[in-house]
Amino acid sequence: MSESWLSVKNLSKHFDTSKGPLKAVDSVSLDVNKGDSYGLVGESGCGKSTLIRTILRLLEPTSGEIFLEGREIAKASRQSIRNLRRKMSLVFQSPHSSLNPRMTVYDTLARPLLVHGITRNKKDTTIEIVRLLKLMGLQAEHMIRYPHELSGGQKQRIAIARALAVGPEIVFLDEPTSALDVSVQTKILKLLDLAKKEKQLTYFYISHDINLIRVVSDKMGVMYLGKLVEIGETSTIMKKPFHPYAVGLFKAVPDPDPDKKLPELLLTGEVPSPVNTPSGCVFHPRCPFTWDRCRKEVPVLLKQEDGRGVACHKYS
Amino acid sequence: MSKILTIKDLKLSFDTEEGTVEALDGVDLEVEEGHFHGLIGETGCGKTITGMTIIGLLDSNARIDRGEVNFRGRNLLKLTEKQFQRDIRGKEVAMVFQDPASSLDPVFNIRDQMIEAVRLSRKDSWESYEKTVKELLKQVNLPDIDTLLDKYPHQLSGGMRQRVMIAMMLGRDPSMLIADEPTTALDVSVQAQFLKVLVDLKKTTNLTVLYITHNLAVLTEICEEVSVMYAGRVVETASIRDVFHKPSHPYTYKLVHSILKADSLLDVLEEIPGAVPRLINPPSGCRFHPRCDEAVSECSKTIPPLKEIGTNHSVACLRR
Repeated sequence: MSESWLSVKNLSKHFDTSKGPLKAVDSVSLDVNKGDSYGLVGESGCGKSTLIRTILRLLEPTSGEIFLEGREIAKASRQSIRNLRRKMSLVFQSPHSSLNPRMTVYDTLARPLLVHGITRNKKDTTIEIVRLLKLMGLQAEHMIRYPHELSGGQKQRIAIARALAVGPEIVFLDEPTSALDVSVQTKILKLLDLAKKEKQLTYFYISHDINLIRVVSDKMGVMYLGKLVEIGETSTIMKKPFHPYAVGLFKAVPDPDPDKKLPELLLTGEVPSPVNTPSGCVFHPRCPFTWDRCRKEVPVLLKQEDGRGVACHKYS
Repeated sequence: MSKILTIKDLKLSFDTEEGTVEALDGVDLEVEEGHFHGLIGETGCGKTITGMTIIGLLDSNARIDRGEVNFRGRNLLKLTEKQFQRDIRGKEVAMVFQDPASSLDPVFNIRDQMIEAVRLSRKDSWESYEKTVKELLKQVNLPDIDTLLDKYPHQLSGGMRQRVMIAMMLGRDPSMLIADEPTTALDVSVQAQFLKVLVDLKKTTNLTVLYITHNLAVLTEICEEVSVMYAGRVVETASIRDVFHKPSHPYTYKLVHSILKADSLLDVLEEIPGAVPRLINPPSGCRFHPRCDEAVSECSKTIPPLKEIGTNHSVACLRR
């Protein structure tokens, strides 16, 4: 494979705080192929939301490059970003707060269509909205409803429909089901899968739920304290994670099988503050394999024999 | 084996401007002493309200229409607020909430808050209180206790706060703990540490725990029995093994098969059509019937009673 479709190179986003720079995203590089589902997993505060917001240019990157179809967009002007917005869209975690309570479903979905000049008259707009609602398993009658008249699952489907309205090529999904009940989670995931096939979309999922990432993604990355610690094919990593953080994180997920015993605790302590991160490998204070080098030298993502990348001195 | 808690046919409603919300509609629940009992259900199914009823912390617009909540042979619904405070709350039944940040007092350090809890159960010297506090914090695996005592809640992480809550609760040595989504706000790695604390308590004490959650996976690791709630009723109670391997109620079956597991494939995951009903004018008969594949016309007319179908396995479904 030659060039990746979406390619992020050494992207950083630092915030200035009174206590010093907060390295929310620190020199992250990853590649997404067209038509794939990429899954990024990590605990709260690891920088996954900041990363996608930076890729979408909702936040200005501190340094680094982003290429979409070979075009550098990290430094693109405000004006040209407007066109990019049609190619990349975002679904937020909580549909309860991402939909305007004073707008009907029709207004919510008509807004992006009109702003981007996709439809120019009311008739076309209505036809397009009905099509979007159908795609999300809803009926035309939902058009006149307000968010408070919809269930959580329905609201999230509207939020997804809004993201799809501009005809994007890639959709970023920020914890798309974690605000929803389990019984509706499956429905959302299946609808997303259908829409992906129908519109040949690329998905970029972020979630703290490892099992969700396992089910939906082709390739994945594990993020810890602003850095990617392991990347590769989802099936390869899920079968046997290499990085000690990934190993501990996967083990910590409760297994819904009553015949299995509580796993041994591998991750102790808590995620340190992203201001004044530990020296060397940021994971070293919690890592069971720490040696001298880990405290001094920052590990880089190195390609392993099976194709995955691991940022750990144990694998260098 | 004896039942520490027996809830019989508890019906509870809230009067609101929009109408009467039938939050609980004939809840039957039995909890074995010394066991960890899971109470699972989706948003708005009444699991938290059930917990709040046991500990007597219902809002003033709640109305108990009928039923009993027997705790060690005493009907808690008959107690006055004064009796509740003196005999039950904290002393016999304690509760840990979802959000540990709002459960601790932000203006007191951990030492003062913990001592306050210990002081309620016995009168002694400050040195002895502090000693007890340290032992309690050690019991929940908190590191570096000496510096922790001088810290304020905002200086602790969510996982540490939740463990302080557990330690505080243990200070009064209750017989039963109601844990309401204690790990929902926590990360998985911290959740695993918290569950470990509970499992250790299970080995060393005779504590009974009613564990309220929407996450079935958490229950498998700690609970003996599970009750499944749907729209204000308990629809199935069984051992944790039976709930997973032999779920009987159609709702339980779907719920168990919609959980993402290590070997899940999107195509075979179950989905439940529709949404959880609103409890103002809930569906008649079995409240699950509009979403149920197996529903017959009888289901919309008759409320199915919880009946035994095997050892410690009961289910509320007309088709069983």
